[in-house]
Parts: sequence; C-alpha cells; structure tokens
Amino acid sequence: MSSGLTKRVYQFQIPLFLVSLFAGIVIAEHYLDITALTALKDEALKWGIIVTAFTTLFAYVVLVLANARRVGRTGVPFKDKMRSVILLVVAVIFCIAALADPVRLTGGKIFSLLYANTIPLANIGMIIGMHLVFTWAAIKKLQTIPDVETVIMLAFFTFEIFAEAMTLMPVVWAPIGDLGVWIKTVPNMVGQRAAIAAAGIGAIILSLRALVWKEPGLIELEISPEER
Amino acid sequence: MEMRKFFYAVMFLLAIIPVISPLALPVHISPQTEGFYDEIDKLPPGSTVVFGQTLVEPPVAARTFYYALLSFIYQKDLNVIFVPLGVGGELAAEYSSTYGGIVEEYGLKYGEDYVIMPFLAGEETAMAAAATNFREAYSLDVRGTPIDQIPLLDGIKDFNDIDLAIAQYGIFTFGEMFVRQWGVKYKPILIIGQFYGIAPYWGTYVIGNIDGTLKAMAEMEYLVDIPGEELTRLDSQNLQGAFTIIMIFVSIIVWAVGGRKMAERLGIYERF
Repeated sequence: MSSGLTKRVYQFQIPLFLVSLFAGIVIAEHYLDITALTALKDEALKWGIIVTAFTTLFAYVVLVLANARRVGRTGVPFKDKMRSVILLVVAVIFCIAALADPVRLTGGKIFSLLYANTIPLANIGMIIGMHLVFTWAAIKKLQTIPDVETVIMLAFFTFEIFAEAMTLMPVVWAPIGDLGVWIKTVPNMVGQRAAIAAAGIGAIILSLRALVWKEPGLIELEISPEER
Repeated sequence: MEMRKFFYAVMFLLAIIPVISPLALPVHISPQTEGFYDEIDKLPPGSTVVFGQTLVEPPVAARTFYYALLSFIYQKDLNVIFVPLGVGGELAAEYSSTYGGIVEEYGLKYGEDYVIMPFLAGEETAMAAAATNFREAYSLDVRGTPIDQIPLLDGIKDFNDIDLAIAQYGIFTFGEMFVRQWGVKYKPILIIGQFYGIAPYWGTYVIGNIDGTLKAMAEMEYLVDIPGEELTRLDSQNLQGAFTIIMIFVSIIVWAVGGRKMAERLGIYERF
C-alpha cells in the first residue's frame, strides 16, 4: 500500500500533528495572555479528564473480561487459572462491598473498612517478599564479580546504604552526610537538567517537523515497507 | 553456633531492641527535610494547604509519619484540602486525615479545617485541571457536598488562592508532573517522594522534600517532636547498619590474615 491513507498517516502522522498542535497552544498560552487560548486549554483539560476516566473504565473492563475468558479456556496452566479466579472473586467482593452503600459506593463504611484492612497489608507483604527475593538474587549474583561496572555499582550501593540509610553516619562523621547531599544536588542535578534540556529541544524539533508533515517518527520502524 | 546463625541472631536482636525500648539515637537532618519543615512552619495561621496524593491505598506502613506531619500542620492552625490523584486515593486521604484520632485531638471540623475532594482521573491532566480551574474540576467533595456549601473552599478558584501545595507520589514520574503543573505555574511546592525524580528542580520549584525513605520520614518526626514508628525503625536500621559495617571490617581482616580457608572455617565466607 503506497498511496491514500496509509498506516503511517493515520496511526502516526495525524496523532503526532494533533499533539504538536496542542503542545504549541499550551506553550503559547503559558507565555501569552490570550483569553481564547486559556479557554481552549481549560476545555481541553476537561476533555482530557473525561477521556481518561473512560479509558480507565475500559481498562478495568478489559482486565475483568480477559481473566474471565482465561478461566473458561481449556489448556490454561492451573496456576494462571487460579490467579484469574482470585482476581475475579476479589473484584466481585469489592463490588458487593461498594454497592452495600449505594450512595457513597467506594466511600461507604463497609468498603472502606474492607479496603483499608486488606489491600495495604497485602501490599506490605508483597513488598517484603519482593525485597527478600531481590536481595537474595543480588547476593547470589555478587558471588562472582563479573565486571568493573558491577564493582563500581556495588561500591556506590554500599556507600548509599550506609550514608543514606544510617543517620548515625553523618552524626559520627559529618562530611559523609555533606558528601551525600552534594552528590544528590550537584552532579545528579546537573546530569538530569542536561538530559531534560536535550529532551525538550528534541521534542520541539520533532513537533515542528510534525506540523510541517516531515516527521516520520519512530513508529516508522514498526511498519513494514509494503504498508508505507 | 555457626557464624551465619550468630549474625542472623544479632540482626534480629538489633531489630527488636528499639521496638521494646526506644533508643532515641541522634538524627542528622537533611537540607531537604529541613526545607520541608521550614516552609510549613513559616505559614501564618489560617493558611490553606493543598495536599495532593497519588496514593492508591491507605498509607498504613507510614501512618505515624502522616500523623506527625498532619499534627504539625494542625498545630499551626492551617487548613488542608486533600486532592486524591490515584485510584483509591479518597480512602487514603480519609485514612491519613483521621488516623490516630487526629480529628478529635485537634477539634477539627470537616469542611472548615479540612476537606477531601473526590478522585480525579488523568494524572497530569487532573493536576492541571485542579490547579487552573478548581471549581470546574470539582462540583462536589468526596462526601457529596456541593463545593459552594463548603466554607474552606470559599474563594478558591485556582492555586493562586492557596498558600502552599504538598505533593505526594510513589512512582517517580509523578514528581515532574507536580512540578510542571503546580510548582512552575503557581508557587514552589513541597514533595513527599523520591528526591531523584525532582532533583533538577530542587531549590527553584521544589523547596522541601521528604524523600519517601524511612530516614526522611523519621527526620520529620524528629523535627516536629512527634516520635512514631519511623524513628523506632530508624534506630533498628542504624544498629543493624553499624553491626554490618563492623562485620565487614572483621571479614576483611580475617581474609587479609588467613585467606579464604580461614574465612570458610570461621563461617564468614560460604558459597551459595
């Protein structure tokens, strides 16, 4: 396909053009005091929230449907099937808890009580488990030091752990605390500012090219020559 | 006893000793936490603080930190508008605004001293909408009351009408969003979240930061003199860290003197 409305045009160039146009409006609104631009931006923000709300709803519907289908399918490993069953059961329980107070829904007492006493605790458990697994895996990896980068990372990690996690260290020896603050607020800040500046300039150039229909963009790589 | 078992036993003891009997070890305050404290401290009574939260669940693991922070805010007679920006954020705001009997302790009245807004979807879009046109973004509070009937929200049209914004996040990308939509456009903000996400804006658009780590939260508890679980856990962390450093030095000396064989014999070195 080489003429007409190609994939590149409707999947990439039109969205990129619209995003660039809107970015231009927002930038102009930031610097110029034009009522029409402010009204346009406010309206767009309102629509942004509405669209996001629908997207979120869509995501949850897809999640529930996908898991329901997995439960009904044959040949799915038992562990995966059980994971989906648990997700669906929990979703149903929370739906019932929310509907127990049809006015306040998720703000109702039963839902709040159930949520506050289950989800955060489950999350803490998962975090502890995750840290244990990661730490164990990291220690195993460090049994053999493969390269210089790992040694440097290990050295900084150790420094970070002791200098940052232990408030006793800077109390015992003040310069170590100052050094930690300096690393965070000077080299780290400088590096990040440079990266942001480069990304910002790149985004402006990309937007300008998109506005004049000259930007093929990264998605080009995902489109086969026949589809262009 | 094997060296490894001895190490675990000591680590366990060092973890529980501060829980049984708090040690109140000295705390070094970072400039970021100090800035956070100072900015709240210098607000005049009656000022309004917006507390944007991207929490998706009640902050049970940091409950005493939030208790200490909000106690400090209410001691200063400041008002708080909670702005949940994460799914489940309404419950998180409800939990952190009432944990520890803080409402009764400070005689707070909902709608006058604090109010919770409903969750607003859209992340950065939501932040921008709440800040630029508050009354367009919200028509009701989380309890279903029209915002025109809430005294605390009288006269609040956008974030020019608030005195300070505190933004909390767990995922680092949110930091820049808060900075862009609240810090750059209105007033410099305070952040509860990883410093690395907002480092480029430190000192200009972000003037106070609780790093989201145990240490930073404990620093705040120490500064406001309301010790909580974070300070206790920090004592444990300090003791365990000190013991680990000692053990590292002992191991290095053993290696230097007797090599791997001696280290293996003493149980200091063992292959997994």
